[in-house]
Amino acid sequence: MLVEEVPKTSAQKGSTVYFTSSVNLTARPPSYQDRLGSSNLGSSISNESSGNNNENGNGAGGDGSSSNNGSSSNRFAKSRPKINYNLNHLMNAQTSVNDASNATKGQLKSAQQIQIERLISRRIGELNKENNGSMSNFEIPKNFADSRNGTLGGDKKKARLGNTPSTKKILAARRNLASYFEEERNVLNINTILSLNYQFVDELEPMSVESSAKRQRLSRSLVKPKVKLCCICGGNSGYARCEACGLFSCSVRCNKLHLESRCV
Amino acid sequence: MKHLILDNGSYSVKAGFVSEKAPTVVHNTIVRSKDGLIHTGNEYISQTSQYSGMVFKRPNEQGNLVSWEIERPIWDTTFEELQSGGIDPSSTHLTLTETPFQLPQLSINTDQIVFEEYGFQDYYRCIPASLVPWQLNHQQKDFSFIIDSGFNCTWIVPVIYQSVYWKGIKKFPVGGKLLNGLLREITSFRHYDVSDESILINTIKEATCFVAEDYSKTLNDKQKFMCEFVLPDFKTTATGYIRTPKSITREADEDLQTLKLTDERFTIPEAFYHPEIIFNSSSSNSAKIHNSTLKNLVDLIVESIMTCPEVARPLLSANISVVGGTSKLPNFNERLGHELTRELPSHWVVKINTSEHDPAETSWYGGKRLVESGMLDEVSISKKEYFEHGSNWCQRQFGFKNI
Repeated sequence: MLVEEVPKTSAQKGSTVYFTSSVNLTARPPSYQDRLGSSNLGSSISNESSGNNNENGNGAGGDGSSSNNGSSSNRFAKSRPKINYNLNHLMNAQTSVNDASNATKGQLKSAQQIQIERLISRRIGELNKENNGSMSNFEIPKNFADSRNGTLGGDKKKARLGNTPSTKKILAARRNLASYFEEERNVLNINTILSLNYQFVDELEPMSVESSAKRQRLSRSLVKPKVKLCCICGGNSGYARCEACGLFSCSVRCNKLHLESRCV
Repeated sequence: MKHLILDNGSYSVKAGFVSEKAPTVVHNTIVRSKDGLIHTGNEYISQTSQYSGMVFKRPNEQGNLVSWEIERPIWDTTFEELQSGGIDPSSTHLTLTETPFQLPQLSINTDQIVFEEYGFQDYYRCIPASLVPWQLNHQQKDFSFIIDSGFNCTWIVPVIYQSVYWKGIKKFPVGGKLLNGLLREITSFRHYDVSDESILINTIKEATCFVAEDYSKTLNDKQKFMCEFVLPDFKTTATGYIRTPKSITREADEDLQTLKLTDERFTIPEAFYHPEIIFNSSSSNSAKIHNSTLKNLVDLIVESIMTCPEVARPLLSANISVVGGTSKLPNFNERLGHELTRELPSHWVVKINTSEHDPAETSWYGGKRLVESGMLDEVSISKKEYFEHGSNWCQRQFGFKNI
């Protein structure tokens, strides 16, 4: 399984370009539209990016009504909603899988979350491996497909080797999925495709100061009880967890057996 | 113009012309048996009786069609095995399925192979779930909710007015392959080392596993569900079978090797409803995973329904189709129905359609009906258009839609 990509924007924060629009783009007055059209997009970005980068670095974005726009936005009604656009987001929107909240997920993930996702993908990858034994892999002979065709259809052989340069390349590629992902990440944001694998993992609440004990209790109660199964005999286990590895066991006997066999 | 429908699943290829009654099913794999011979597709079933120690190579990785050097021989074999003989691609329309959210580059590769290598005349590519509504009756076509539980994973796909609602698609990582992995682990721990025997494990799963009606109740009297699986001895049986009172009397000797299966039978499929079972026997940091919350299949279905437009939601829940090979587990649909009724608002109707077809082949029949409806020509791409606009354009027509 693949490991979550490091969010692009955090890796190259300096080059991320933000610009702020204080207008509702769907309902902008014609006069402003003209002005926007005449002013070069690049220059407007460079004007504002210096001020905005700090603000956006916090990941907030929504709360941008505060400081730096005082001079520029007094031309417009103050009550208008303000949106911070991230150019990378706009570009990635082309391939993004789910709604905007999902697209930003990759950047707001806590280290804990990423760690759990790593564990999960490793475990699922382990279970999904079909060939586990010693001779787990074999190479297909180079002329395998051609020799098959040779026995059947005589002179078709030549045409089957790959008709055009591009198909020849595909048929001879012998690449795995990870290498394709590696290549694609330069072109588009693959986080959105990768995040599909973790849709079944609930987002962890980032530990914040204001989350009171009461709220924690509330969120706990919404979670369904987990089955606790003995890792040795598979029965229900209300008994205990191994202190070393956290697996459940249902009786002293099973716990002993577990310590002898499975516990690391 | 002949229409070929090819449902390229990660376990098996379901292919056939529209004129045929049923698809030809070919295993989507290249196998090397112990004696070093290499078999394509279904060949290993007939050409060898050594089902032990087979090594599989599949063209799909996590559902994505990656390796064309493996897929091409399999397709060639499939085309030879079609009921109406071989194919002539230059006068054939191909309807092909791929996994949802396939990496665009891989879809482009597929398009290139289809047009440049095989030279099909017309081509339509889609995800298998989008074909399913077509085989429903007329009133049900517009709002349908597909749960596609295949070999690789389970996809949850709302289809509204015959088009996929991409925003609502969810993926649940449990599929046939993962269940096999769990069974392999448990059997290797409790009984014999079966880590080399993929076919045997798959057979055991298909023969014995079922979805429990009420898990905790079933677990409490698990002895009632005990069943004995006779392991292959390669003399009387090459695949193994369940021991019944009848077969005991038939056997001459009593010293057959058997597996006594009890809670494995229903605990493993229970991973659909309690995903923590996946992590139950792995000691690596299991405490961390046990402290985080995992959503089960039902949670994801509810989440997916809730992303759909509000008026459509009750309509979707009343028109659920369950397809894919893993849904053949006994009691799969009934349990899902019960769980969903419990989760969704009480005045909504939850109804799971019963299909007359094999769940693994439903998409193929859907594709057949789509061709018969005559709508296909409007969405297909012809060879001429492809060479005019290129493969990137092709991906824009067929790929997942920007949201």
